[in-house]
Amino acid sequence: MTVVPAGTEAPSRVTDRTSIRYTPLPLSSSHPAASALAVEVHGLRRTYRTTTGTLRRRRLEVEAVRGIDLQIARGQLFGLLGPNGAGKTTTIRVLCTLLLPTAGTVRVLGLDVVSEAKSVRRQIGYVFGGDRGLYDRLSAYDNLRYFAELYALEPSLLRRRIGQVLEVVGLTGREKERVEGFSRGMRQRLHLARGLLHDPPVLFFDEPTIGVDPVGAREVRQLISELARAGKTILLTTHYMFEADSLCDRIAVISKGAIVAEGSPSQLKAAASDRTVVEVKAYGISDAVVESIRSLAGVQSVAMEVSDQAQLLVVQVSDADQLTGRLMQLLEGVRVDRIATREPTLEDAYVALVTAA
Amino acid sequence: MSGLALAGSNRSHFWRVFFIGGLISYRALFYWISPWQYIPTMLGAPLFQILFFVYLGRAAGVGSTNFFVVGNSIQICSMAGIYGMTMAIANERSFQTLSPILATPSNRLALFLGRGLPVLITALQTCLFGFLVSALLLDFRPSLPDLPGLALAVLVTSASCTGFGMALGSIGLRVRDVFLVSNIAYFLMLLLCGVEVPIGRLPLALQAVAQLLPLTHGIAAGRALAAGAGFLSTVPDILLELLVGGAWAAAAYLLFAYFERSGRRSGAFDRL
Repeated sequence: MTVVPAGTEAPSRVTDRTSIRYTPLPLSSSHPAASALAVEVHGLRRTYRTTTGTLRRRRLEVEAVRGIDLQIARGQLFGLLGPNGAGKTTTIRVLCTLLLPTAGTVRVLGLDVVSEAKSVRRQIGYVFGGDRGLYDRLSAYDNLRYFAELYALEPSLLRRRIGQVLEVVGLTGREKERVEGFSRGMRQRLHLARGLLHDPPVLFFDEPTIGVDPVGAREVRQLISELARAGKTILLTTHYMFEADSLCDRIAVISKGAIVAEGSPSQLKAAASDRTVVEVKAYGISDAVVESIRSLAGVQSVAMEVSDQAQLLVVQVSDADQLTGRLMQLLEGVRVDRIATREPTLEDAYVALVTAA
Repeated sequence: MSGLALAGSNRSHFWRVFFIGGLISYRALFYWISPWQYIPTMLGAPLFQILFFVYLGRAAGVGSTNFFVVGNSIQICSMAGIYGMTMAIANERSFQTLSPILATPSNRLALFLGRGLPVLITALQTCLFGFLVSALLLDFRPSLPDLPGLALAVLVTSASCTGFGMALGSIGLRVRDVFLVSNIAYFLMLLLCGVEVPIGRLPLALQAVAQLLPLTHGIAAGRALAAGAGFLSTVPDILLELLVGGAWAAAAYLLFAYFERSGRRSGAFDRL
């Protein structure tokens, strides 16, 4: 695992947030003040038990999280990156008190998520991606009203607070409409509004921009950035590297249930600075050719994206000058449209880390 | 860092979640709330059920009109009680709203019981409709002094069916196709609870099962009142109905609490 010390670099968050202003609740009550850390995770393990077969049922154990450690300072915007099934959502669900850890200790603002679950719930907001998780037949206002009651918002504040969060997420004027008619982006914004209702100091965002169109996703990112500026502690999981790069103060990369690297975005990028990325846009690259490239000495990783008919082969190499020639030899007979080299991005660093794990 | 603004007291929070939360969740989760669904499902089908069994009884020369009117008019409350409560709880799973709800610090008892009140009112409406159409179309004429007792029997039976529905709804938090269970329960109650067939005609084992189900004692009380037996003689049956309903409601809450705890262990929330 690569661990890079915190606090050495300024965050590089998105700055275009002119249309979004987050308004906190006017009243304050006690927050647990014991810990300087907002989130502390030590040795977290989480195992799922499942069964297969109909007549001969066989019990299986799947280890989703294998002993991770995380520390998130108050006010930090922390990214948790990883491929599908890496353990991101499991970690967030433990932090939100929805799952019990199999082993390890997890604290939010110094409160234990197992023994002090109810207190933890008062301090956190949970926002997940996707278009489910809302009451379709209710209006946006009633969806929020219901959760405002569940969070025990002061009745005198309730209407104003719902108005505030609707404004923050850009749904003012649409609050009387039934959610069933909402686009995916609007639903996602409503998820966000719900997570902000009780003005929690700690927010967990589980892939909040998944499936949202680029304009909507940009607005969500602006809001997250604004919340971080307002002092919220945020844990964000995402598949989108540029999102993590532009938003997060620190990032942990999780793969197969373990943290494989942690640091600021530029520190993680530096982890891949010893290599160059060669991109080949081509048609008709076979799996055998990809395997041949992968087996070349000096090739760090190979990934291929397919878009329509075209293939984009992304090869991370330690010495581009030396390997480009060999690469072209292996691609003989393949229609190559374009070949280019570039510096590694956070995504390349991520691919390198996850591939190596 | 800004702060939380919590309602003044736990008690006010409890009642707000119970009344306001219960009503909102009913509107969110009760499928048949629109007039297009409510009228045929909650009024049309029960009306035809009452007419069918009364005319069947008359044609076959078994039972009196009152026997079938009271049995069926009270039984139709179980449609709201069973299906309404199953929807009100188990649909959280299909809407994937269970996780956001359980991530709130809300009072679970208020959250759970509050869902029963609108369903109970729906069940009462259905029964009232059944008795009204029976009075209009089938010449059902209970004596006026027995009407309050009959209303109490209907109220208690509707509440006990709601309690039973809560238990089925709680099972739906874990079991994927809980409406299959609700269907079986609904028709089993039609058979076992003395709605169409006097309980004394059933095998002894089934008679014993019937004692543990809602409807059985409520219908017995209703029939006695419609026959002019007087309120006092029906008190034991009304109390038994209340006891059965209360036991099912308590079992339902314990199941809900158990599934919440075990869901945190197993990760079963929102698994479709």
